[in-house]
Amino acid sequence: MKKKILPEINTLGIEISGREEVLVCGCLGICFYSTEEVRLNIRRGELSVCGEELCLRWAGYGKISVAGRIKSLTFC
Amino acid sequence: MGKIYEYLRGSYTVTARAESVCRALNVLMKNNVPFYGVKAEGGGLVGFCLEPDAFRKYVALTAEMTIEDERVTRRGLFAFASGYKMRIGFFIGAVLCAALLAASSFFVWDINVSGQTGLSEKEILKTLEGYGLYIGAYIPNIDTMRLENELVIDTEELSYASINLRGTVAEVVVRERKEKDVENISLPSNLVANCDGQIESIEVRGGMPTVKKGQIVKKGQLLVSGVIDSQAVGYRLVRARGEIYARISRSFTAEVPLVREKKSRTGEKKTRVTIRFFAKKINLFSNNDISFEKYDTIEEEKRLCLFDRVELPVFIIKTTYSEYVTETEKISEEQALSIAEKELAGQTEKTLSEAQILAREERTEINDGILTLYADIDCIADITSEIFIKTDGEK
Repeated sequence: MKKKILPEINTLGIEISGREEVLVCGCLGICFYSTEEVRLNIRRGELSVCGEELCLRWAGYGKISVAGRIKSLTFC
Repeated sequence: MGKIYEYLRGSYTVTARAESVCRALNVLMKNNVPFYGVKAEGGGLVGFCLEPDAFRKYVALTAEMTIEDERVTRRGLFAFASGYKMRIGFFIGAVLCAALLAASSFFVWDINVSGQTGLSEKEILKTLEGYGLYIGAYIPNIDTMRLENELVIDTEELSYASINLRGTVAEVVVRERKEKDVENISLPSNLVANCDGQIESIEVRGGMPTVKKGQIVKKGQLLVSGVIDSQAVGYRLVRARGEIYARISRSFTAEVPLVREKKSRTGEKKTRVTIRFFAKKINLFSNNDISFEKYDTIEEEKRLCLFDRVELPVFIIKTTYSEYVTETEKISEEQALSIAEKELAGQTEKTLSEAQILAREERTEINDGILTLYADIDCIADITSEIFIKTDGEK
């Protein structure tokens, strides 16, 4: 079941839910991809998702889903 | 379900250098082209999956881009089928198989009969076959209600029948009629003696006895009359019923030749195999001639089962023709006597099963190579035979 862990992040234009899948709304592009780190372009800079066995899926207009064992989210 | 749908729909997996994939995915995102399953594949390569529509758009959008080490793999049913596109036989076989399966659902695959106690399943199946229900019968033509009625009406032994078609299997449930010993006393009759004898006892339940205990009667003599003369209502006809026991003497003979013909198998056999698919028989042999002068025919029918559970409408019929020759064989007098005794026992058991045996005398004779066993039996037995009185419907 998806659970919002950082609801205040909505103000940044993105929505993150769950620890196994992060749905990033307002994604402008993909900067970098590897199984350990995904860096996504968002309106205010970059969002780095770190973890293990990460994989990506298009989840609708301007949305990207990052799935895997997520360890950290960092705004750069 | 998702994976099955994906397999049926088909998909493309694009693998390329990570940097190129990132650029390609950005282009896809900007144009709202869905992708999924982005995964690193080692060696700096990353793969992602696209639906067939999305792949067409991907090809158009990345036509002018440089995608390093790009490799495209097509997956799914159509990709699998395209591998066999030059194999016409494979497709014809698949289409025929599908057509056969679809067509076979219109025919009866199996008939299960239950509930019978005296009748055999074979007899019921034979009757049903006469009405159009057999393995291979066309299901839309089967009127189960009509069949049930006809089966009960035409089979005296049955009092109830139910036919349920469950898919391609016909379940036939029958109940047999329970015979009740109800005497029809409306038909007038007389009881006459079926042999000579001396009356021992008289038990009359209907009609007027015309003999007395100790009286000697001849064959055909009236024992119990169905015509009753009453002063009040005049003559009336009834059914004569009862048992008249008399002391009688019966003779039985059994003849056994001392030289007889014996079947001797030569060991020569011929086997013919036929496949029955529904009602259609396919011979797996070309020459139907059997060169043996005398032979026994043994037929074995085996039904094919799928995984020992699902019975298919396919039967393998193996017919074996086994040759034999007839030889004359001499038997000893003891052997002949033993055979004659068995035959005589069968005769007496059949005729005198309810008789009280008083005396038995046996003697043997051998004439012209034939052993004859005679048995004279004195016994007390019911000697009545019923003779119906013909009327014009008036009593």
